[in-house]
Amino acid sequence: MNIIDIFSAYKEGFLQGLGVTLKLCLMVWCIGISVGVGFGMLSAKYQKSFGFSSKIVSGLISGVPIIVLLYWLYYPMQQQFQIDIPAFNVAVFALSFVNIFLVSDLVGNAIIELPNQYILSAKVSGLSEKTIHLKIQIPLIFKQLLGPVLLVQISTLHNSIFASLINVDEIFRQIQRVNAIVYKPIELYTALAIFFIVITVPLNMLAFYLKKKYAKDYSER
Amino acid sequence: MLQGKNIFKKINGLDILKDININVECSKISCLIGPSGSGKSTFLSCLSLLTNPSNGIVVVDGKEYSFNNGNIGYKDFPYPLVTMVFQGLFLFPHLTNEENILLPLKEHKKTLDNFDPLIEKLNIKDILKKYPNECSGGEKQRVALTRQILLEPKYLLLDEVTSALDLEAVNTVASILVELKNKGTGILLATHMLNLAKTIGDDFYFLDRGELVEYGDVSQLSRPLTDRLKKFIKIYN
Repeated sequence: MNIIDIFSAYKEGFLQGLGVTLKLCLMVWCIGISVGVGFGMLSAKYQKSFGFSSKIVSGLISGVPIIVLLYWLYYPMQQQFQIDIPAFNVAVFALSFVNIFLVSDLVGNAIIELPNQYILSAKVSGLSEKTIHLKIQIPLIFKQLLGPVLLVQISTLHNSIFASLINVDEIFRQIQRVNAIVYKPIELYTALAIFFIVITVPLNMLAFYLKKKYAKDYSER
Repeated sequence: MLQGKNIFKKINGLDILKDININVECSKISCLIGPSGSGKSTFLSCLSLLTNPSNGIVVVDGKEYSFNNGNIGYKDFPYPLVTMVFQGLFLFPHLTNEENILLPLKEHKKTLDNFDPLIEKLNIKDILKKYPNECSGGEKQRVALTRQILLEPKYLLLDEVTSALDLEAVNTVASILVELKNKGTGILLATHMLNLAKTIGDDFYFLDRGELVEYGDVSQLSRPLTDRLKKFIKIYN
């Protein structure tokens, strides 16, 4: 049985796994970016209260491997509180939680570190608050953030395979399941690697392109 | 008239400006001279209301902005009636030089009648499509100057704007400043270039260690009264 035969025989399972992975990632990306941007803005505005708390949470998160967080939320926490949350929802929550604070950190830092002199320069040129926000602050921050935020999303995609360990039927789990039947590890895991390469390489290239195009060295010569 | 009255500025407990009184009058070029660290840039920031003085009053055409008793709540800033070119220039890095110049002009619906002659004069036509970080210090100075001049301010504050220019460009800038003065603009030029001050200035203010040590007609620069100004002239002339 070659790889094409395997894929054609188990295509339903693979497509379902692919769908679950993409659905998981899309949800985590959307939640992480939208809430993370909001948190980042609040962190920058209320540096001493919200910003400080956010930094502590983000520091704690960076010290806990995602797999531990997933296990903790799926097994002991649910047992402790006598609740039953589907594995997919737990994975969305855990990955989004991490994504939110990573994005929030990036956004908060970008806002705080935006040199004030550009704002002063805009002010003395008589630009309105609205124009300063829309034409100066947001584009500068946005362009600085595009690359790094994209890289965080790529890492989220990679982390999504850990969801298989709490029984989420995503692509990695489907590959494992099929491998248990046909035992073709080289072919199957190579195909999985290719799947991730196909998605992440263009994203990596886009991140690199955006970084080169927009987040270029703005410093004065 | 643009006036700084009894301006004090303290930063981290240090007195950066001590009781400075300076007037910028229309149709006059006043030169603010002094060694590095004397408080020239801080004073310009205070006078342009970008920084709140610790104490003192800024008066713009009769409108008082008092900072005595800790008043800091002003929101109706007089920009671009009063505008400034910074020593660090601070062109918007994500915009081309042309966009840098046009953005405030569009906001204030200024006509572009003076655009072509000025960019021609300041020789920046070839770099309009470039980004600031692709330009030399001198080119950026000329772009920053163009941006603020085209706003047609009544009072123009300039912080060392000729420092990165070659002699020819300094002469061009000098002639433009005289032209602006003749059109009625009041200019306060912070500079190290004593010759420039003597050539185009009407009066001067000499700052040293945050104090206004001497002021008067620029002709007085040839016969300074205080030892501190004499010493400064000896070093910088």
